[in-house]
Amino acid sequence: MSTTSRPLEQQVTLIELVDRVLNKGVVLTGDIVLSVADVDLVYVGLRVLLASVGTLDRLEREVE
Amino acid sequence: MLHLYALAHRPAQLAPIEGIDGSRLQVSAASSAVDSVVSVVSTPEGQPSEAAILEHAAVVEHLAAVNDALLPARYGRGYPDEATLADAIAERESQVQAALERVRGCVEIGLRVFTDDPGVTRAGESTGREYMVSRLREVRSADRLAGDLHDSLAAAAKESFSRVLASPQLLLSATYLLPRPELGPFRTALAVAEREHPELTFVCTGPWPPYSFAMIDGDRR
Amino acid sequence: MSLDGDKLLHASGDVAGLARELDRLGTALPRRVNADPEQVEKGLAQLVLTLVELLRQLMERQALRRMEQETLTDEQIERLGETFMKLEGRMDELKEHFGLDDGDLNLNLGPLGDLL
Repeated sequence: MSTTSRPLEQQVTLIELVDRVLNKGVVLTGDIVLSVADVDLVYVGLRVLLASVGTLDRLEREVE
Repeated sequence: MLHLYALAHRPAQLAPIEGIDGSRLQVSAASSAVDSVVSVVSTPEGQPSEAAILEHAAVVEHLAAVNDALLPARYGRGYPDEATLADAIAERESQVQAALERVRGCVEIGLRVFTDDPGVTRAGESTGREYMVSRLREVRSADRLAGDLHDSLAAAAKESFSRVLASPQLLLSATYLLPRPELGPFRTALAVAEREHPELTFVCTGPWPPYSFAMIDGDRR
Repeated sequence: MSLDGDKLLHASGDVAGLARELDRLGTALPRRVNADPEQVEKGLAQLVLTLVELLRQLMERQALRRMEQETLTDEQIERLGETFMKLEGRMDELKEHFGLDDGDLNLNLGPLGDLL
């Protein structure tokens, strides 16, 4: 998406807007599907990784 | 195919605006308490166009003006029919209702605070220890400064989340969920923060419909 | 939708170049890659490097916390620092090799937000 032709305020606003419309907002579908090189990958595994790393971090801080 | 713009508490109010590609906005009764706002569009190929993204955002903006509790929907792949959409909502009905109550009467403000602190470049370190010491100093001072800034601004917010040093120049990135009456106090707090930190660059956008607080699974970032 | 700046509540300080900084963080439209072999390789590199970067950040955070609590020996601090420095250098090389910038090393996990 070309941003350079617009004044700066519009560029900033556009970037923030696109981020919200494409990356935020409610998602209803069950699996999170990511496209990499037009190949859809299911990220259930990554969720588990994130959760366990987060738990580890929290547990460690509780010990301190 | 149905394109979803937002979920609202029944009865959802429509706004006098067209959907994507001039399609007509419709309310689809999703469940006993939740309505969805949709329009019929042709199946998209690949990336959404810039125009479609802007149209989606405009619809959400207008809907947020006439619906007190609105969950903006992410630009998605669409639903084949109303029944599929209704099923998807029914599966998460309690979370959707909770999210609607969370954002009721609120707007979203985004904030990024930049620093041009040259101490961030690490070309000078030669030993491992020097690297760690310099990183620790960087992280400590960033945490302290960002923490102070965020605390003063989050006071007006119902909810917020933030991240420190997402990149070397980006000291603080934060998003605030503000009840509308708190917009004034928030702007005041922001002005105070800017005055106290002329060395920092503040970029504040909004008010947005509550996209970042509309998510219903897991933790938000 | 008008982009006439009615969404920019306030900006202070030196705002020039910020748009590129934000772009670099990957908040602009994600780039779609084609299915040709080179791009597939790039897509996988993107994935792998993002995960490596995630782990690097987590490990570094942990190491810094231990350093603060003074539960690391001098030798450990030296070794950790050297490792992180080397890793950072290696990441820069790999990113350059695959034509990836910082904004590419991020993954959107739907409701979980962004990975990094």
